[in-house]
Amino acid sequence: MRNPLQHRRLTANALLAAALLLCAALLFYPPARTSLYPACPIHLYFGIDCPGCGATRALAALLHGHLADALRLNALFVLLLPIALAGAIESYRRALCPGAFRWPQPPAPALYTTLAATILFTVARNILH
Amino acid sequence: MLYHVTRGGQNYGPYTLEDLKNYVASGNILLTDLAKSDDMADWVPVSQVLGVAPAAPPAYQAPLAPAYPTSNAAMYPDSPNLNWGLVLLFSFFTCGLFMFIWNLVLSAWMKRVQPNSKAILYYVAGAILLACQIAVGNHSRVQIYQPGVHWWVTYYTGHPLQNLLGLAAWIVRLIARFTMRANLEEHFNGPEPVGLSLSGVMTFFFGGLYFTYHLNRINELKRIARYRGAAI
Repeated sequence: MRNPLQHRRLTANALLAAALLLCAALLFYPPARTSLYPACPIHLYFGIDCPGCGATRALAALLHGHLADALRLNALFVLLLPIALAGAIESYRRALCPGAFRWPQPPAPALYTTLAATILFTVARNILH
Repeated sequence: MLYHVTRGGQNYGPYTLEDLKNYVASGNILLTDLAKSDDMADWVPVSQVLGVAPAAPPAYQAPLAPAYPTSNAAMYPDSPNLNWGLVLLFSFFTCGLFMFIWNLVLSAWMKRVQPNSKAILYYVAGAILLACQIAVGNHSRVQIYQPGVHWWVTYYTGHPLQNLLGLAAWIVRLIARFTMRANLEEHFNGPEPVGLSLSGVMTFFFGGLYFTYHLNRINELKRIARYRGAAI
């Protein structure tokens, strides 16, 4: 029987492995060359671009070093990616450390601003499309 | 002086004498409950601590004080505590996929603290139905490669089964939300009494996001209670 720390470390490492596998899949089988990846259900049913539409393709483009393509596909996702990566690395570090785990808490004003920017971005990308 | 109170094998407190009087007056603590301070050798009825005559036990026993019972809290693991704003943001950027995963994480925790909870079964069923719906949707799409834009352009031809699966997934998800709501209210008004009351309308529209907001609040309450407990 594993103790809570071992269980948490196992979960963190499994998530890291899953993330690396996803990146490898996007690197070797980019969405531009295969229809393997599922369609966005919001786009499928409502015909609008949600904030995440284009994020998978943008990540694949970034992994191939095509920054301009990535920005064209989902600019907000690309801009927020470094912050998300920093948060993920800090969460991973905390998960490996002994003691109670706490998710990194972003400052409330930054979080609300990002949420507002995401909504504006969604409206803009559908109007300007 | 601080007093611990016990009822049905569960410990609550510590409370000051003033708190004890107030909770007896509000009915949260009964005169027949047992209390003990650090200086006392044995548990004695609350009536003896307060120096009043014990009353006959009522038919209904109200839950204990709204103050968080620190000693009881240690028995249950904290709920997953990702900030609700981050949950919303991650859901935005994953076309809602993250919300499905997060609901599974929350319902798995619910199953650990309330073993009779069936919310996880409904959430899993909802996720399977959604996956089937997306698979059917993918099957009915046509992708045409456009060299000018370097990407595939997708056209959807639709499938009648897709709408049926969508409706079934939506109904199962609603059942999952309301089951989860009932389980949360049961847990946070029973074993961990914080007086949680969840709105049906908010549950209907926001489900897991609404639960996360309240779980953030409860976790903060528990953290403060632990801090105060350690300070005392």
